[in-house]
Amino acid sequence: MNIFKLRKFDPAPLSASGQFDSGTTADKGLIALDIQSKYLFVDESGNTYHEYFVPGTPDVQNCGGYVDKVIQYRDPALVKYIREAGIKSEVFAKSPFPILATRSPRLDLLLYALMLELVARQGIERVSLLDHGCTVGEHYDLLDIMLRAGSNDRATAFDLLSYYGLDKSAMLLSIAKLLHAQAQPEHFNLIQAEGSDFPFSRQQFDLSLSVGVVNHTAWPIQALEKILAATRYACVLALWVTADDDGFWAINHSSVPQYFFSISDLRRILQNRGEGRFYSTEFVVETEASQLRSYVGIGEEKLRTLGSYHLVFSTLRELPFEAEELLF
Amino acid sequence: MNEDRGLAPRELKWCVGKFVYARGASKPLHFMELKNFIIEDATDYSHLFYLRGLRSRHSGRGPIDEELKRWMEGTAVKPLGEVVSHVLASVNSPRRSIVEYYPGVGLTVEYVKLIFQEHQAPSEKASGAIVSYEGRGPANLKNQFLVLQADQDIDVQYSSDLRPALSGTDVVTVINLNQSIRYDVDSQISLESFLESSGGPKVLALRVTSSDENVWHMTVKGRPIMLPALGEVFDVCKQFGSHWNFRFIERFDAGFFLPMSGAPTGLLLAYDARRDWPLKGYNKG
Repeated sequence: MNIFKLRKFDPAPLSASGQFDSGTTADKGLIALDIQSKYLFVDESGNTYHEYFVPGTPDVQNCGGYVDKVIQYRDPALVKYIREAGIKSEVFAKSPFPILATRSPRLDLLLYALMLELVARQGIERVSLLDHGCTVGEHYDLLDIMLRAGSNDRATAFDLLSYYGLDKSAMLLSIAKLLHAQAQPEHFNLIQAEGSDFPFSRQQFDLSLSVGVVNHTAWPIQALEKILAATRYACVLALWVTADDDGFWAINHSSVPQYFFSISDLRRILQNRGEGRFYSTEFVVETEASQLRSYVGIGEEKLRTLGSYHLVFSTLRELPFEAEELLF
Repeated sequence: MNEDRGLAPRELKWCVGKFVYARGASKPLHFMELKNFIIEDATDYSHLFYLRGLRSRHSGRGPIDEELKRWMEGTAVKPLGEVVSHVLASVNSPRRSIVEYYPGVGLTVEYVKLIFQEHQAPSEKASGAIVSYEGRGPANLKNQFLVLQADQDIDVQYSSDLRPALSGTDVVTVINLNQSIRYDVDSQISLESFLESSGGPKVLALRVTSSDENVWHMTVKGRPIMLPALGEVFDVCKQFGSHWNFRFIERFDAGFFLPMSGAPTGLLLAYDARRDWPLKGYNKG
């Protein structure tokens, strides 16, 4: 039997400082990057013994991550758990289903509460929702599960939501359509567009959602301004920010520029919107995030100055959950 | 690359993930480990929805990711789907079914549906080829299979019972041991006991060695696996039926195994339609 002994290793350990700690800008074109997704095997001398490549384009890898979420959400055991344990953040946090404790479901809880609020207090029969960077429409699934569970099946996303998913990937939108073939087409709309280049009118949507997508659009500040302008009542966001006075450009693992908003950026955006406030429900410093390797050439010290907010922009007088207003 | 594959090193360092290089550099600037759902599942899901998109005409006409296209062409899905369709066509019954051991996400039947759709009138449903599809594999893959295969027109089931089942003549049994290797699960299937107890038409897909003897190999996932000798599989199949047909694809996805000296590996596809039912590219072994 000729079997190898394998030992895992890290071919590029994270260091205290990184090549791009001082930031880069999309237009400087500092360096050309090649990205490979593969298995790598190295012998005792450090020479490559074997490589096995797997598809590594963002579309394929996003398909893996987001279809996997839909599969987990549609697990009958998870649905049963939510029905029995209730729709609360503490229930999600302590659930036997790890996915419920992750970022997206926590944000969906906020959306769910906002939907109920709009139906109950604003008399809205069908809530319009912009899902900015919708990938395969996985938020629709969890919202549907929560609506059914919270109403003894009297309410569903099919009859309570007018969904507008926007994504730049034709492949992911095609999968979104296939996965939601039962949804009424007039209330399950998919739009292919870059995340800062869309045509929605002022206050077209009751609610909107963007989970980190604003940060890696071509024009992040304009993208966020346009989303807030298109939102009537509330926008739920995961937004990456920097503690520095100015915004910061990094490059992510897919070679896509990612912008970290500064507080002064948010202040200006709010002023331009003219009405509404930002509230924070959570802040995670980047060094405590689940994936420390998201950015190329960023060292640990720089990562400590970066983080992500769970933010809600709202024009409502009160929010249906606890949140701290961001005072600029 | 190691020049002397005959003296394969016993100890190797390994990793799997996304490597970012400054253009032209050999040392990575950045590394991010990838989880399994980004590696195996991502490619299978992408493949599944690409095929389904072709069938439903929601997509598949636009530009396709070239990297994904190359990957799909290197998998066993197309050749396996073709031979399963061929065997299915030999079944003279309106209640044709497929039972697939180690179905993964169900790519075989997705391809079968596509083939049938391409050869039928537009008014007929693509699922008209079969009335039921049962996957049999590890219990932890049940939900994935059922969610992805949910189909209003076909009875879809999944069982973790991997024992051979008595099957009728209208059930095509697919033993997809190629998929069990890719999904990094121990196959609990004894080919002999399967062939002995299964009465209906059958299709096999398995990795073999072209050596005269069974040979241990190691997958890139670090799992040692004994690949059966091609000749031995021929003999076992013929022992349980006289209508077997074989196709050997030498060096199929050879990189999935760590390089070793010796005879090349490959994919063996075989079928028994319980009668003479020839297919181009297949022979009697």
